[in-house]
Amino acid sequence: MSTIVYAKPYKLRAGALALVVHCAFFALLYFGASWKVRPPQGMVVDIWDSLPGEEVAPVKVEPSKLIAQPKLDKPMQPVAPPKADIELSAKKRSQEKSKPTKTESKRRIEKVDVAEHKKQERLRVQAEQKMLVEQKMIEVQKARAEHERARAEQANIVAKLRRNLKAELEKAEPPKVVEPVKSAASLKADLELAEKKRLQEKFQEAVKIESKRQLEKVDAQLKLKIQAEQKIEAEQKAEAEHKAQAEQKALVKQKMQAERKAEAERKAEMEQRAEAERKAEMEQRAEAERKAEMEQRAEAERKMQAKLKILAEKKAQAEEKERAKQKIQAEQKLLAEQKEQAEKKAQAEQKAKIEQERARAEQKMQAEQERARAAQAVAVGREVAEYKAKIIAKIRRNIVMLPDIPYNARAEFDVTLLPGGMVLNSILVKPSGSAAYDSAVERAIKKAEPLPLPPDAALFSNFRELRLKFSPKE
Amino acid sequence: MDVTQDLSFIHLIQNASVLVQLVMGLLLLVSLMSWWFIFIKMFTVRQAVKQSEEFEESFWNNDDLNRLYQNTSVMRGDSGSMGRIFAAGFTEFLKLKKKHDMDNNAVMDGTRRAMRATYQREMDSLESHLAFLATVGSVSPYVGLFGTVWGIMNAFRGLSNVGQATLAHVAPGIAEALVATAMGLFAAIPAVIAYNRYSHDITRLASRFEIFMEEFSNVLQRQS
Repeated sequence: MSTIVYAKPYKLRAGALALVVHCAFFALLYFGASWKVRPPQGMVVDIWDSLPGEEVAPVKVEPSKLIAQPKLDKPMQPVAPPKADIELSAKKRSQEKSKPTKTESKRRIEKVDVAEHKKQERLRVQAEQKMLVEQKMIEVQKARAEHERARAEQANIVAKLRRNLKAELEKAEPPKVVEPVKSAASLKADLELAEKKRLQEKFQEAVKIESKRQLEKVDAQLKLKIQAEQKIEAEQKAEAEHKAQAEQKALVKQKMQAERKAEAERKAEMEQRAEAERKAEMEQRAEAERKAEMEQRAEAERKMQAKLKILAEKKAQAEEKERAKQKIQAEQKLLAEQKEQAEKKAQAEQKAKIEQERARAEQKMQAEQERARAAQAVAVGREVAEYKAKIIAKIRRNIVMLPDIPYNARAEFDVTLLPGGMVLNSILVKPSGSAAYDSAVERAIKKAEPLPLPPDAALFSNFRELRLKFSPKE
Repeated sequence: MDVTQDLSFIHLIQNASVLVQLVMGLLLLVSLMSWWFIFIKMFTVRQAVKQSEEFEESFWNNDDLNRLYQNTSVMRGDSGSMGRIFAAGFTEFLKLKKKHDMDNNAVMDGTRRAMRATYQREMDSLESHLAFLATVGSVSPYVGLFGTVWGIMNAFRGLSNVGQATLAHVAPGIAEALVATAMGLFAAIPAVIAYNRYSHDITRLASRFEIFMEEFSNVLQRQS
């Protein structure tokens, strides 16, 4: 009672908490279930058969840049900038030269594609051209590589020269730093410095000139090579065009000849056809005349046949009438014969029925007699069986069972009875295997006198000789 | 029915058939009730344990039973179940003691009877609502299952009108129906857990009360 009263403050708290739990659960369900509904956002995929050409160019440019940058970064900048510019420009030129060759080769390849469908000979020529182009490309690359090597060598030379110069300067500088006060010494040092400066300048100029010469040589070689290649290409093109023109001319001639022949053949065919048509017309006319004659003859024959048919039909009608009369007579005869036969059959059937009934009656009588006999026999058999069972039961009641008799023992006795149920004789026909059981049964048979017999004395004949079977099972 | 249909939770509940909606409503109500009782039981059991611990401590530390009795009768409700049992027993003992012709055994029997009556009343109030929790725990899954079966039946009946049956035709219906089972389980699982937990707690409390009653009657017998 009182606990319920004191539980009241909990009720509100508990209710609020329950609501909170449910809200949390539904929020979880709501957000949890709506996550998976959003369909995946569509993606746009471009399928490219081949990579665009722009991506290939930077790859080729990059290595040269990579080589060029370290040179710019080197400390020899104050001396080298013009060289670097020249080198870069030279590279650019060489690249610009190499690029057009590439585009030309592409165009050629396209032409080859078109030409492939036309003729095979051109293909061979162009394949050769392709090979040449590739060889040229390789040569150009080699030239570039040589160019770069030359540059690297120049850079090395310049670096060596500079190192030498610096070493010399360093050797020369210490006196200048140590003896700034002594004028004679300083003058000497100034002179020496000036000389060194001149030497440096001379060195630099020499280096510049050498590098320029080398660059120019390389450029000239490149130009010569490229020109030679262009010439070779031009010659090859010219040859190919000549060949193509000659082939086209030959083709045109062949076509013209073929057309002329075809025209001549057509004319001959036309003439032949015209003659054939004339002949055909003549033949058709002749045939038409023959047909007309044939038709006239056929009409005459048809008329004759029609007359003959009418005559024949009249004859046939007369004959049919006669046949009909004969048929009716024959049918009447047949009917009379059938009636006679039917009457005979009916008489025969009646006779057969009577005989069958007689036979059935006899069979019934016999069957009833047999049944009566059988019933008597069954009754006798039943009584005999009943009394046999009674006899066996009475004997079994008198058997004194011994403990050690096997369960499946089975003894058979032939028992001879006197009227009144006394046992005249009992003989062991089949011993059971256990002598104790056999003797027990024999004793029981004697003890069971008088055995029960049916009151009807006529049945005693069935009981005079009995074969009785005994088994401890039953 | 599109495959890309909105299968959000609210949509599922809205699209369900009326019977399934009813089942879901019932389950929601039952779940609310069961959670309410769970919290009430949680607080009451916790309080009962705490109060009985306090009372036992004061009982064994205090030699004067009369003062303890006055304290508990002043405190009334706050003394807890064990305090009330003690008060009932001691009141009966004092009343019977006043009648001088009473046998000692008879006094003790009367006291014990009074304590047992109070004990039964306390147990009854502690065990209230536990039966509800047990019922919810055992029945609500079946109620939810009923709603689900009904919903699935409807889904398949709708399928018979369609020539070529695809999963997309059945799936929303089944999803709707399964919400009912989810709710049934949501109501049942905490109820079962709470029932087992609280029945165990209350059994322990009961054995504690009985032990106290025996000990207290021994103390009274010594005094009488």
